[in-house]
Amino acid sequence: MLDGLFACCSILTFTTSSILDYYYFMLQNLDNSMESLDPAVQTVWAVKLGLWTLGGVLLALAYELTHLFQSDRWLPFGFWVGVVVGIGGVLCWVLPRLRYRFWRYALLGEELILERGIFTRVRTIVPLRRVQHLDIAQDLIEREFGLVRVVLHTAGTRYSTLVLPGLRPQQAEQLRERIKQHMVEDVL
Amino acid sequence: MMAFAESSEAMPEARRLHPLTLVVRLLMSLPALGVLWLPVLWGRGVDRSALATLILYGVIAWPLILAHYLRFRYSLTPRELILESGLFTYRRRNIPLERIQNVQIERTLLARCLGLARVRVETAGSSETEGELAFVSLAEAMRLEAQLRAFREALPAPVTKAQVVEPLFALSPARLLCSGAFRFSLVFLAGLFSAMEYLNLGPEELADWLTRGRLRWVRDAFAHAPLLATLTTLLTAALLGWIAGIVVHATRFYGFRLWREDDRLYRQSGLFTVAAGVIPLRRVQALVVQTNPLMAYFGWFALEARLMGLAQEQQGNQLLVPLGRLHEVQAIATQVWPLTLPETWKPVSPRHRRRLTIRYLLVGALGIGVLYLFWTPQLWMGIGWGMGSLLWAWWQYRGHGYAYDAHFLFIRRGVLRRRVWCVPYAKVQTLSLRQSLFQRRLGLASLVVDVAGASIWGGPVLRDLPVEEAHALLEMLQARFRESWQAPQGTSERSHPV
Repeated sequence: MLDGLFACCSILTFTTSSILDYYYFMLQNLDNSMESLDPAVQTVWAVKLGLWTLGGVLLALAYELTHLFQSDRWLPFGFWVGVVVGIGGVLCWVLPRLRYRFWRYALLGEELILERGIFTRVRTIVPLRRVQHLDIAQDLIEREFGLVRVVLHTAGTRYSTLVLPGLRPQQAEQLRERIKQHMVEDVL
Repeated sequence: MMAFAESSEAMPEARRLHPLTLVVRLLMSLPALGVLWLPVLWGRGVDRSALATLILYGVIAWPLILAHYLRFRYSLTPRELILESGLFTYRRRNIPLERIQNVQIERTLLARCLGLARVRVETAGSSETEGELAFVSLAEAMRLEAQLRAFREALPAPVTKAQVVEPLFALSPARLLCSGAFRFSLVFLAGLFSAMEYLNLGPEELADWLTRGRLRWVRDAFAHAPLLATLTTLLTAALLGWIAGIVVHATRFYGFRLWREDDRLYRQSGLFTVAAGVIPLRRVQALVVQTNPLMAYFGWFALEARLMGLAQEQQGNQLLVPLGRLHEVQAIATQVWPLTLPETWKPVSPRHRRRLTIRYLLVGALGIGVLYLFWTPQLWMGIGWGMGSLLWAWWQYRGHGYAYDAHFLFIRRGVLRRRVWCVPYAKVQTLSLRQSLFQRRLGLASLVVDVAGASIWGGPVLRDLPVEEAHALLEMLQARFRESWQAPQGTSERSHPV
């Protein structure tokens, strides 16, 4: 039992340390001339992740209740709920912050540059004349925090829909106006 | 009389489809009935349930066909094409004529027997057929096409007129068969087997039937050597799949012709269903030279054009050259853009090999682990998988590379389906640089060149470039993209190469 606990702890320490290692390494390499998102987007993401966690908790609870009177159960009641709450809580705390740290965008000349991703970093360059149309979208949670996201559509395949989240409405409007100037009728 | 004609043009009467459409629809619904009635056809006799299905079919299907026919109307005004349809929910679709990009007249075998034609209208915005008239008489189809063209001069010229033009490329019967022979596909085989399964015709019964007479010794031999039987089965299956592939391919590409008029390419092919297509050159987004190891060994290649917003329901629709020598492919490609296929390729980082090997080994370990739950895996499987992974990764690496010149980026990739993507800088949609955790540690990056009409798998992606090289390439592409669009306005699309 103790051995197992020890092994778990060491694996956990190792992964966290290597992730942190990577994280600091990445932070040094960030292009700070680019703009960050609005910090409130972290809360939006946290709330969304929290909802997912809640779903998981309900599933776990249903499982535990249906297996409550099984004779050969050895885990105490609430174990799986605890596991889900623990993992979900950590993710809700860590992921939005990391994501926020790594999100950058810039509108340079005729190109919009998006940089994002915690583990897989993606830097996408969107020539503005390639934008077929763009939407400003907002869901319920974003509305609570007064944020919007800009959705760009291109004719491509793999990155045909690009989302720039966490913008203030007036920021998004400005961005849209600037992008619109460069959009062309015939994108062939 | 004149006044009447004018008023009818202002508000033209809505027309119905050709009455024979009913016959075609009815005939086309018969296979479904056949499936329902299979037990009866198989000689089980007519029982109550069979009768019930027949009555249901008569009560539901036939009135539906008739109602659909009665409810469907179309009319053509100088400004738009109006399609009205719907039995329960009425639908009226107005297609503005200026959005119509292409009109296709398609004639299946049945339609040709009855003198009918299907008219398809494609528009700029959507990737699929927007309006379909199935079926109208051939004369009506011609009239519609002519009128559409009269209203909108930009439409491509009728296909029939172009028969006179010398084709750029035509597929001779010998080459047609040859081209089918290279397209081995197990899909047809799967279809064949499922059909046999459905007809209660097991392979064993079939084999028994085949070997009943003088070929009895074959059966005895099989009974003594199961390995021989397995091998023969596999070989027969492969042979059947191969032949089915040839037949399907040959019917589709029979009489393939490609010709050019102004800035459009026309293609036409098909044995039973003659499909004709128009490829406006300025809508071509990328050219793909395809081959596989066998084709490459005999020096054969295929050329495909990737378009934006054209009907993609038929996979082979954009093939410009189904099978040709490299110089022929090069010649047709030159018709589209002044490009020269590169001779030498820059490889990606050798670490690509290592990453692929590790990936395959992990997949193998997982597979063997799962297998372990049911059966003890043998040592040779592990060794074989290891060797295979190494070899495959090496092969992938060998086949992956890129080249570029003043106007084009070329990306080569794939082992079994080798593709060379020719992407003009001006047609790039977005550029992305991807770095996973592991790529970061190894100093690698992947470059995704997104193009309209690219496939999600096997698209123009450069995997595992050294990171500095990837950045340099990205910047070069960016600069070239800007340059290509800074060309003076007012020159025609074709004068700057893309």
